[in-house]
Amino acid sequence: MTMHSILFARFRLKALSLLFAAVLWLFVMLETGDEHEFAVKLKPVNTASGFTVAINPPELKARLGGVRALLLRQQLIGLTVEIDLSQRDAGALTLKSSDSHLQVVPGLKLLALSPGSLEIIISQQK
Amino acid sequence: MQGILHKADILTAFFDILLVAIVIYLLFRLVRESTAVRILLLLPVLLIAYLAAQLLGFIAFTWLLDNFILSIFLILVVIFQYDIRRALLSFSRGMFVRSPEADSEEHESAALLDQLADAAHSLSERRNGALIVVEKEMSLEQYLEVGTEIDAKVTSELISSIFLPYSPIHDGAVIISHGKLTMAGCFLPLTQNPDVAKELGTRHRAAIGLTELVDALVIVVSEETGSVSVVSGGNITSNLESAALRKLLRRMIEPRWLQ
Repeated sequence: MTMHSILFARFRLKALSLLFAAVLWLFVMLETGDEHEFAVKLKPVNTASGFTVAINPPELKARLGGVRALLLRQQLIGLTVEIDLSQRDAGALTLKSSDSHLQVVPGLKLLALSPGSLEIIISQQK
Repeated sequence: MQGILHKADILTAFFDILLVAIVIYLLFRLVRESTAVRILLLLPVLLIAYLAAQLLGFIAFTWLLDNFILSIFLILVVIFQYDIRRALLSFSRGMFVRSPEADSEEHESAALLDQLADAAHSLSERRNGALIVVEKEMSLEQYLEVGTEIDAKVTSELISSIFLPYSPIHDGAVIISHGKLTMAGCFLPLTQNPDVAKELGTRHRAAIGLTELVDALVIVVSEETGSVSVVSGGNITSNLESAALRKLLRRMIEPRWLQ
């Protein structure tokens, strides 16, 4: 038996086994639990007209845990937190990060959020 | 996406996939190729559908596939229980130690196989249809619906006479078990495989049907063409000349099955 005949005997079965193994690997890989850090975009809403908003830091870091497929879904959707600034006047404001209502994909767990607080500076446009 | 999948080292993943592919190939080699191909096409589709449903957030579809995938391996074991049984038995063959009487067994076995080959040749020349089943490891008892007990020495003359058209037991199979012709006129289960060639008649279908269930070997002589075939594991080797049949029988039947 030559190497060629050994390699190409039942070739269809061999190729399909390899394909299935690759898909199975991807499946197992994506179904394994993991942790990942996401950048959370902060979006001020209901800002009174004539005011500008500066947020320090401009984004939060959220550490989420769960299966990789769900972490991928979270990455595709993105993470945004809306900060309601209605009835807020010019000045500096400090908010606890934990107070922000982070909407994560069901099945994922929020492990950590940093930094612990946000500084929001609302100033009147000149 | 890369951020989440970056932990998979490419080289490790490659060898991981290759090893799994080899295991899958070896497992599915035990099953008929057409069936294996169908299953190997279905399984990746199921896994990809599951992952896609999860990524797209289809909760109910994910739940459905999740439960199905969990039980699919059990379903496969139930579907292929006979193939698995046959494979395990053939695997255990290698564990037997050669006995001191092995040479004598080999001689007797060769003589018996010659008788079978002679009978097949003689039946083929006269265009008398025949089904000769040689029992191996697995018992045929539960698959033989009717039949006449004989318990005689295997000779080509006896087999030829059983399959003469005016013989009352010619319309069925003869069973060779432990080196003896134990039964004649037995009806065998027909194959349910839709891929079996349309031109094959009931005798061939019966031979394929039985060998899909057990590890027996069946010699089929066609009444229409006189061609001799050997069926084993659901696979058919057709148009065998006398010398080729003899050679194939010696290769496929171990002496200990005829003792």
